[in-house]
Amino acid sequence: MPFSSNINVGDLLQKARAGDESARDRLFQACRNYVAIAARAEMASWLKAKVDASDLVQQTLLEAHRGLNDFRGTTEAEWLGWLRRILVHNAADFVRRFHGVEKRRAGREVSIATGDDSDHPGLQLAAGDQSPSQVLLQKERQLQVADAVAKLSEDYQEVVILRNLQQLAFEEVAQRMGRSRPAVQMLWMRAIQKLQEILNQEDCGRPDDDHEPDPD
Amino acid sequence: MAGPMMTTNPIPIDPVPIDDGQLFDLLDSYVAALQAGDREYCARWQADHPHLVELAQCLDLLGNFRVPENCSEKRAGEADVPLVDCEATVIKSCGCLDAAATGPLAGLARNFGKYELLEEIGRGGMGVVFKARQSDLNRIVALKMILSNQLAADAEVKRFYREARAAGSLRHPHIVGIHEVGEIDGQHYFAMDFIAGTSMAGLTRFGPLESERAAQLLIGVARAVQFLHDHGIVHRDLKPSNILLDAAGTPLVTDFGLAKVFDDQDERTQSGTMLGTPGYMPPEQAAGRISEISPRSDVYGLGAILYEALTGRPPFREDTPHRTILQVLESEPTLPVKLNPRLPAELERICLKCLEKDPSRRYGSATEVADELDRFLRHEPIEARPAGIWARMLRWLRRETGLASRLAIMFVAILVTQAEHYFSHRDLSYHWDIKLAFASWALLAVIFQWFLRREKTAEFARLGWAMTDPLFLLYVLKQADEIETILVGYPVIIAASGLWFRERLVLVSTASCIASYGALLAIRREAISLVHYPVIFMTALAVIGGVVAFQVQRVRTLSRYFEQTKPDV
Repeated sequence: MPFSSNINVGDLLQKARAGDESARDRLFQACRNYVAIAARAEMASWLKAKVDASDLVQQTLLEAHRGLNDFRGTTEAEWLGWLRRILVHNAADFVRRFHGVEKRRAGREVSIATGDDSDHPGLQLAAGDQSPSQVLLQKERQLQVADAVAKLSEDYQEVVILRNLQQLAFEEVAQRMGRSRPAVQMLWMRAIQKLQEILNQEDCGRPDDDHEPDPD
Repeated sequence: MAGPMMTTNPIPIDPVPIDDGQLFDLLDSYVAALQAGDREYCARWQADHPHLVELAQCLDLLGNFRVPENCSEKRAGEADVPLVDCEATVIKSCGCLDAAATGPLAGLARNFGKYELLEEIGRGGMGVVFKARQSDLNRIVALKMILSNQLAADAEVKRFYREARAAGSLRHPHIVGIHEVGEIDGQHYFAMDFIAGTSMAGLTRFGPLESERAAQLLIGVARAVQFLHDHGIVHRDLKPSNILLDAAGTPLVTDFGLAKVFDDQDERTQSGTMLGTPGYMPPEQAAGRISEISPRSDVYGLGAILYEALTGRPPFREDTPHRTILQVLESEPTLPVKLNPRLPAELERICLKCLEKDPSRRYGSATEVADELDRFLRHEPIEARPAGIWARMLRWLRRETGLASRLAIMFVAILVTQAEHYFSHRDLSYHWDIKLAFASWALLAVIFQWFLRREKTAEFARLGWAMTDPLFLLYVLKQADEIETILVGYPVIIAASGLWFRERLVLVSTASCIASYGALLAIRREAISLVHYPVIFMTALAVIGGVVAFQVQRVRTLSRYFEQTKPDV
């Protein structure tokens, strides 16, 4: 399996939309960890007890799959942003379901339709003052970071998600994880070290100039 | 595959070796600045610690990962057309508020019926608390949203309303009043007084309080708890974070009366899980004996709060909830005076009487606790008698079982060797050797127990014990006339190490025992008659170690399962 860092999302998007099934599969394969980690960051821990995060991921990828033809963005940043919005929306749906309130189907349909970025040129200015290449670099790293986080052990993932992604204080993280604060702090530090190690390895294993994905 | 690439990307050798604590502090300060958006600090940090830049970049990447594009754009005002009606849907339900408060929507004003949510101020097992403005009365309230998974059936909802209304009708200078209970769009909530201040948990974070201050606070709390009891309400979840302090420092009890609704329901739907915080919970509640919960359970809670106020830590705190619960059920808290040497003996006595395992040995009511603390403040003799020698002995046994059991073994061993010496008239130097060994082992045990009392060094003490016990046994075996009988000490040590519920410790213990036995073989060749016997014995030790470790792992797996099925506490 290739590292997602070697994947050119823009390219895959183009091919996938042209009807290339394998490009489509590779595109979704590459984004799976990204959506999974984002889903866990989005979900409060009490919700996690009731919902399997993988349901949320499944649902999100499914809708993205179905809506791919309506999506008109071309860059990785736009693509990830789109995935993220579907995810946020689905998370809201999941929560509402637990509140026993009817899902508003209409709301969902709107979300997919508005995933069409050509209507919203504002999106292309995504990250404000950064140069386009910088943006590209960071977005690309996003997939890589998600893959790296997914490789961590369950404990490490949990602590990184709570502290870095949900931005909870250590006191709170300790409570959520049911451990003492010093234990959680140590765990976190080890997790960051491990993460850096994984990212480093991938950097080393990464070719200097991006190879094109295999021609089909 | 990465082989040849490694050379082009040399990893710099860390020029400044730092320990874990320092490294943590550095990373912690970096991430705090990063999340606060202080780019200048981050840049300076990276310049100051060039060898840690890679870790910092790792934190940067995680920070970037967090921000969903749509919402950051909205805040920046770059996209004027709403991309998704995420806010509209998000605002409706608590779960999303919950995600929003820590996520992308933080900082936006949100409407919830006649309330305008201002900020999240806390969360617990039952729900999330917001600071909110009630628009019709233009006052600030604390709004508690009940997590929907806590109230599934209609009957439970009705029960929640009944209990909340009962609690809501109560007014007392030391309790947080409830204004309203209601539901908006399927979201159950209640509105309470908003207390601008901190909680006792915030106060004790910085260490023990002054004895007088602690006693004064607890008097207020105890009177409020008595008031609740007089109205038929048992709090069940007394802990420092449920005692709010207003600007004047007056303690106010909150979150009362509702624990019962969720507790009983838990009992029915998720047997084995519980509500409440293990470290402050009375044993009858920790053991799930719901029917035994009485006002005296709250007396225990008062004791737990007093304990934390006097020592700066809860009576029991372990690294996982199930270990904490075992401690609550089986052990005794470290004597407060050991943690705070300036503590008056009377206050310690009051505290420990509240924390008795047996409810009938605690104070009979919260009023009694308040009166007793009052006596302490007025320098009058308190009513709680000093524990008798027998009771103190029992407490010590429960509190420091590791030390007590070793001393007991030593005592018996000394008796035996003494008798043997008396009857066999062996030479005195041999006898003294054995005695000296016992004495040094006892001294070591006392030292380890001292380390065990402190959270930071406890792990060291446990490992120390796991490694030195086999060593001591080796010495005894070296001296013994006949080794076969005493060899039974090895399996005993391994089996006992399982009581800590740590696989690693069992493995360390097993390895030390096997190593110790190996050393014995080297020292006393003459004692072994047949070569294959030692092999059998070593294998047996390894098997025992494996079985104990496996059993420990099973228990931990089960307990993890129960931790997961319960909402965060």
